[in-house]
Amino acid sequence: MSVHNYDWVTGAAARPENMPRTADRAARVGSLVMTAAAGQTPYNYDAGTKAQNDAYNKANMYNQAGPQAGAVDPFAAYGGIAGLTKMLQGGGSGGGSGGDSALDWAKFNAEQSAAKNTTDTQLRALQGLQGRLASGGYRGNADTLLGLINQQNTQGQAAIQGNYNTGMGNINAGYDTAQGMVNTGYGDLNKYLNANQSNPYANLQQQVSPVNNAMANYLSAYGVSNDPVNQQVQASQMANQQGADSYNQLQQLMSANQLANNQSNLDVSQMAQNYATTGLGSQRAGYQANADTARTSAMNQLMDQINQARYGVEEGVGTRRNALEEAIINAGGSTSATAADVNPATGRVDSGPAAAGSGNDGKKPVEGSASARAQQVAAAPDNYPNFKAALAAMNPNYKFTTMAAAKKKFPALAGKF
Amino acid sequence: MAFNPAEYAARLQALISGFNTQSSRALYDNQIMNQTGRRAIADANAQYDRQAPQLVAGYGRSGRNTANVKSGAFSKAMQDFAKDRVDKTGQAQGALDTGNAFYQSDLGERQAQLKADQGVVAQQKAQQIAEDAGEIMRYRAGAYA
Repeated sequence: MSVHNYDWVTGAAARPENMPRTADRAARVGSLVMTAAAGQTPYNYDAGTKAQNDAYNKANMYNQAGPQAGAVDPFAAYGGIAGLTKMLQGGGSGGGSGGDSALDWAKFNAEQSAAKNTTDTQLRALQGLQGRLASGGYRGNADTLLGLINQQNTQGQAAIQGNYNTGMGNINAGYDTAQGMVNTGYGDLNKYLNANQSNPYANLQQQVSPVNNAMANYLSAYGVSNDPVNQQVQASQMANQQGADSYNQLQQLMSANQLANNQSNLDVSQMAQNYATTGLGSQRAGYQANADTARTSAMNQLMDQINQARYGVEEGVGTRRNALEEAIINAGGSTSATAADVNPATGRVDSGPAAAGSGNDGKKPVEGSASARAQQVAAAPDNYPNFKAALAAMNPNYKFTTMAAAKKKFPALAGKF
Repeated sequence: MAFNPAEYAARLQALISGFNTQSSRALYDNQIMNQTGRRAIADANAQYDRQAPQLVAGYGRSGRNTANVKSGAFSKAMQDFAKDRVDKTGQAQGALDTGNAFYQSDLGERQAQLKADQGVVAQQKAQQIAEDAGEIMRYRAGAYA
């Protein structure tokens, strides 16, 4: 509601382009108050011509008696006349007050107050959203969840590694046991073979019994020569010896074969032991490879699960961040605030270039706020000739002693000069 | 099949028993052969000893072996008789010696076979233990086997 719309405002002075200055406004208000206090339609005598004033006087029974003392004060709700005057003087720009009733003014003020409260609430809400974005508050319990996921990852890896270590320990222990058994088994075999490297043919020699001429004396007694008989003895002896030699040659051959066979048995035994040992080693390597593969597979599976869980958490965080950013943007705020811009006491971004209400976002700074103060300091060189003038104007309650003390007290402002 | 010490010991015992049985039989056969051979030689010598005087007497009756006459035929007959005795008894003794030698050879061969058989059993034992060791290792490896 504008005062321009009231019917008692009919003069040219009521138009915005002809708005009165401060002194004019005081006079106008005084006239309005005075006529209103007299129970008449509020009228500004200074704005009217003489004919108009006369007409007003005539129309409002100028010579009638005023209100009786002790009557009800219609401005009691505003602190009386003085309060109403003060309220109207503090009213913003615009035309002067005219013929509104007290109820209209109260309604106007209530609307203004409600609007201001609504704006402030929205501003605080926006600053709160900015604070949540800048501080990372939108992440909610995501970091806690990520911590749990990391903990699960650590525990899972430890469990997998533990299983692997146990398995490898069992494999190695099994190998040691098996190797010990092989060594014992083939050790016994080697011991047996070494202890039984006998050659049954080694000392076999066919004994050749001597062939005798049993009739030597008999022949001699009859004067018969033994020479032919002795030749037969030699021939028979030689025949028997040849048979024995053949036998002995056979025994030597058999003996050599036996020695070769004994050595072959030893070689075979050692070869079998090496084969068994190699087999156990290969077996162990296979089991170890299986353990490695199982560990790798379990680790990969764990990593997939962990990454899936992390992805889910971060996806939720991203969704919330996007929604938050859209809300800030839709509310006319900036998303460029950092964690350093967040007021730890309020959790809102209520200062700095990115703060809603700082002016950069098109919203009016909250009077007396840090952002408003910062703007004043920033604009001080344009508005004041020097530091002292700016100090006096911006800090009227400050008791100036020395320039050094003042600059120390207000370093930001001093820095502008 | 896990290694069974009792079965292993039984197999070894069976080998030794078989060897002992065969060796005892061979020894008995060898002794019989020696008895037979020596008796044959002894019988031959006894026969030659009995025939020698008859041969001398025969040449004496024909006047070819008297105190004053020593015919060449008598001498040759006596030498042939003696040579035949040497030949026959020499062959018999040679055969006996060869029989004894082959008995020793046969004994050695059976002994070698016994050792070989024992070695095979010992190898099978070691092999079985090695297989058991691998099986034990597989059990220890559990799920990684």
